[in-house]
Amino acid sequence: MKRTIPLVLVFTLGVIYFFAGFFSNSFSVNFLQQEIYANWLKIVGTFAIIMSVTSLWRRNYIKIKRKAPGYVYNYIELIGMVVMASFAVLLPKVNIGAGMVLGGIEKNSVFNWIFMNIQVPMQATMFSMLAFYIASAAYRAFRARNIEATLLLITAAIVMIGRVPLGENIYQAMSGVNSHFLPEFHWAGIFDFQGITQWILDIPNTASKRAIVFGVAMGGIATSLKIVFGIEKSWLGGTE
Amino acid sequence: MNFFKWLTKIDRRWVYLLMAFVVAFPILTNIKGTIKKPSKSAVKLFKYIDKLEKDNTIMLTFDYSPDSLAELNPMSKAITYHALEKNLRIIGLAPLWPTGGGLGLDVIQSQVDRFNQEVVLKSYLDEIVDSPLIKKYRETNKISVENIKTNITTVVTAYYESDKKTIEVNKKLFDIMEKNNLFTKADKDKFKLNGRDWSYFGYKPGFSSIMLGMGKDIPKTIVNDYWGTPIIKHEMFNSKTKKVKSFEDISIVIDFAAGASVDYLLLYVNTKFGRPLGAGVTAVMAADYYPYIQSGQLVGMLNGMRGAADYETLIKQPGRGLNAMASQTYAHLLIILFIILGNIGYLVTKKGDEK
Amino acid sequence: MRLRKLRVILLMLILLTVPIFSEKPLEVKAIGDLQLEDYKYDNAASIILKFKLSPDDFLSKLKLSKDGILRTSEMLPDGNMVEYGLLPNGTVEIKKDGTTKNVNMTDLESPIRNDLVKFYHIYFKIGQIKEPFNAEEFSEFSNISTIRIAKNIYSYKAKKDLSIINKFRLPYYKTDDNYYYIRFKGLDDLKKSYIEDFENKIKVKKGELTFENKKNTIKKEILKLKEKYINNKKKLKAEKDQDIKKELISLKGEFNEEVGSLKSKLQELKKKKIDKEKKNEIKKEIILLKEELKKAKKDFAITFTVAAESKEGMETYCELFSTITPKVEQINLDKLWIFLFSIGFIIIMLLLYNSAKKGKKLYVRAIAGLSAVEEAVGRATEMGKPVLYISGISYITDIQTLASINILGQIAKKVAIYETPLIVPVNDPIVYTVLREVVREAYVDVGKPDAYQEESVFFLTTAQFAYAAGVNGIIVRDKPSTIFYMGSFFAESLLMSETGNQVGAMQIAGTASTTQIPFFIASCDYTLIGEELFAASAYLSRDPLLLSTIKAQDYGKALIMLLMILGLTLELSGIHWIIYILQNIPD
Repeated sequence: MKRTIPLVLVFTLGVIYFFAGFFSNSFSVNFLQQEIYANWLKIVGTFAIIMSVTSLWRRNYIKIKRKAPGYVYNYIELIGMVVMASFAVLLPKVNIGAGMVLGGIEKNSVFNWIFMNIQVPMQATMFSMLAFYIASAAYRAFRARNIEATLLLITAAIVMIGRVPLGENIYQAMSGVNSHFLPEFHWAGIFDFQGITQWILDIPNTASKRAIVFGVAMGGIATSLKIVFGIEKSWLGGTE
Repeated sequence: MNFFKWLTKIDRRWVYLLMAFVVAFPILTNIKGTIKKPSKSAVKLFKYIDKLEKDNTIMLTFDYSPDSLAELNPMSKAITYHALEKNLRIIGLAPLWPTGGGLGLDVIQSQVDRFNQEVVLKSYLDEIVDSPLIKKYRETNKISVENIKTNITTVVTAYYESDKKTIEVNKKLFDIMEKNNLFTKADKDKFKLNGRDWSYFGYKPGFSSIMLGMGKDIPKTIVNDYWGTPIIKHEMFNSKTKKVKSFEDISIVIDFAAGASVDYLLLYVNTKFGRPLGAGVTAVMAADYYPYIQSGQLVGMLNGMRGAADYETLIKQPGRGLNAMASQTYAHLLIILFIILGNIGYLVTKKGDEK
Repeated sequence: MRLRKLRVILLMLILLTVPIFSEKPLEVKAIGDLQLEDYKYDNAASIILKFKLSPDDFLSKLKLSKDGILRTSEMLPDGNMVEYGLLPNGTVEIKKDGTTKNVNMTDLESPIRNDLVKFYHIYFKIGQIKEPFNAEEFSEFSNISTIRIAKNIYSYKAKKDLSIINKFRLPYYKTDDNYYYIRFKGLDDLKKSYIEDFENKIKVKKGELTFENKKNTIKKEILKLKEKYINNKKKLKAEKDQDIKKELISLKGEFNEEVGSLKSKLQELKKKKIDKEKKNEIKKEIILLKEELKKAKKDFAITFTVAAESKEGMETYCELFSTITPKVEQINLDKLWIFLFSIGFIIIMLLLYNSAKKGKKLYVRAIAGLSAVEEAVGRATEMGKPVLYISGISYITDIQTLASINILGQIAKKVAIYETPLIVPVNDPIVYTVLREVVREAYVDVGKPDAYQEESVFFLTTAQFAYAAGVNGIIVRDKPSTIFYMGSFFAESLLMSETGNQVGAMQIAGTASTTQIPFFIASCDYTLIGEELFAASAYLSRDPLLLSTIKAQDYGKALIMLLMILGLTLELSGIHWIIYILQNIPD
């Protein structure tokens, strides 16, 4: 029974929504797609957030209780959560001087100050780490092991030059040389890194992306149908 | 031989260190890059916005969080500034990410303030700052010329928007200006006012219902703006001749994205409601969206920092984007250098192994 | 077996409900010389018309003037006169706003005879009319704000011209060869405002009849005022203020004033009291109005006229009329091809499923990344270190996340058998609740419910890079021997996988996010590319029934490839119908 009810629900709703996609009457557009679906998601989302926060507390609490390695960080996480939540929701909106307000999430609130001066730089730092990681990953991965790898390597180098002003400068310099040396051939064209980069992005990149997208789309349809028809039951946890 | 082997296994910390130096150096010494030929997709977007007429409305959606702020803020600021210059009306919204709510406001507000101060009020400010009363006020309170200009702009904006809170904060300055009829000298029509020339909604939960609703009726769907004022009270949404009612009245939607939002917006804005969509995305995910530019589903796209630099070049307002171009150039060169070194090491050691 | 029967019954029931929600199709009458070929409704608020228009439709109005030039003049809605004429030798004279311009036909960007009709203004008039077009009459209606002026763009060039698109903010539909499609929007509003007019009239009439009700309401109001007055009195007395007397007096005055005005209203009403004859008259009027409202609701129609404007700024009108009734089209035939393809795909899948059920063996090629899963879990068990599973950072609505959930179901079972610790930090609250259940059930399924630890699946944060930072922390502290990245990833992918690479974990990634695939390839041991992610759960379970769906996927792809080759060949040989059919599919 615990398995049958979800399967029946999934099948019924799956079929209804499949047909709803092909109808354009207000029942399918406004009621099924907007009222039911959007609101359902909101309700489920709200409860899921409650569960998630509980999970977060639980995990941190267990780690602190066990004094697991690095449990200081768990303290920081919990304190951070309580502090931010209380500034945003609990504390009153009182002026505390210097144009700041204690509670609330307005632009001049303490919450916003912490957000802009602690959260923003921390997250920006995480993102900027990407530059370092890309450098080291590229250094390790781009080796001319075979023809394909070599092609990839050359393409990467061209795109990297073509994406920055340097590419334009090289092309301009080479065009200058071209006008003096063998002007009847436009051999400087091979130094048009920006143009070549654009071509790479527009043609081979798009072609490969589309090929993958076709496969992904088929896979997506198959996965949905597997779930709707109850062939796949892993999402229920295991088979019957 | 040992040296070449080392080349294949340079410790990643050396790579990190050099990278940090190469990126930081141009920023710290303020070396600026220049762009002669902006990329195609950026030019497309620029041309589209540039051809819009006065009082057309563009919608900017902010789907990023503080982490990608450094990459996406320059381009969103450039586009906002361009829209202000073209006298377009701006609507800001963060449909997907709660964190986008504050960031988007920061972008639009800063550009509106900048525009009001540097363009609309320029001659007025020069005149008013030198007037004896203001001079006296400035000297007694020890405020620099730059700051007093900003303050006056704020007060004038608050006066036109009848924003009581801001007036309360700047009461002294406000009183001086009101007593001496200084407000009347500013040109209200050219001034960019919240509610008339721009409106900001902030984060609105329930993406699909919001999008579907905006296709029919924006004031009914959004109800309140970022500050909790019902947007139907704004001139932008209740004017008789040029009100914004639904997506149909929006000339283009531009999404600044660090996640999957462009895909979602393509579905709603472009496919469902047939409105043009532009995008500004982080460089890591830009390659995903070139097919949509080809198919015309995206009007144009700004690709990471380079996109911002392109746009800044196109609107002739150099900013952070161009500043970062030098860093990016050196960083790319460094990566290429490392790839070459690694390959030299790899090829030499491979030959050695074969022998 | 019981479930299967239930499914068939459910499907039948759902299909039966379709006619219940359907409405009757609408009628379209063409008046005048407009040939309406077809029409369709794309959603509740718009209609798309398809009609044929030959340039001669409006040129037929031209009369030969004295000087032997074909010339006529028209009044524009804004009051401007426009003259247009066609010279036999091919010169066109355009007059607008008092200036005259002689343009050689060859100088125009495109031959005027065919391109004069560039796009159309549609002016609405409510109700069915049959008289010829009168510009002045229509100008009134074009000012109604709820009515949108629809437009259509004729040529490809015009389509690209932004100024035209922006002049008429509606999305153009499309034209091909001789047909013109026009999209109307806001028809719903139009109908509402029209019907509301009637309803308001009826309300007013009814109001005249029911003055008795009004009397009662006024009496009630007086009572309310009295109560309020007494309450205020009590409050004031309780406060024992010095100025009480003054305030009491003013209160009494206010009260008397209000009551007085209400009473005078009552008297006015009494004067208006009407006799029975008049009552009957009003009743009759109401009945008539109601009938009209019924009619309006039923026969509500819009008559429209098409106006043409050339790129050179000349504007003219042609007398093309049609009456349409706005209603919603039930089935979106634009999506017919998608529907057929989907049904075909479902049939193929179910056929393969059945043949697999009968025991037919299906060949599925080896996928290196998935074959390594067993080894990866085994490695973790040997080393006594945990397995880390990252399910992507997208929502539950993302199909990649669903695939990831299925894969975790399989991996969790393998992990549970060896009792290896499993760590699943999750990015989205809804995904978290699902994953928790999946893992728990997997442990129950292999008979080791005790080995399941509640905190092995936990919510981390929804913020993208904070999540990456959190995962990196786990990787560095717990040093998992195996890390799976399955699902939808964005810029954070490399941050996590590089850290995993640094601690020397065995990493298997799978994503359909094309931009992240290269990062995973650079930093992981195995990467599932694109659809391999969707095949993974079937592949891991080795269940022949599940494997049959992969086969269906392949057939679907083969069909797409076939269509592409066919389309390419046909297109190159100048046959365009396949492109036409495929392009008819909405994006």
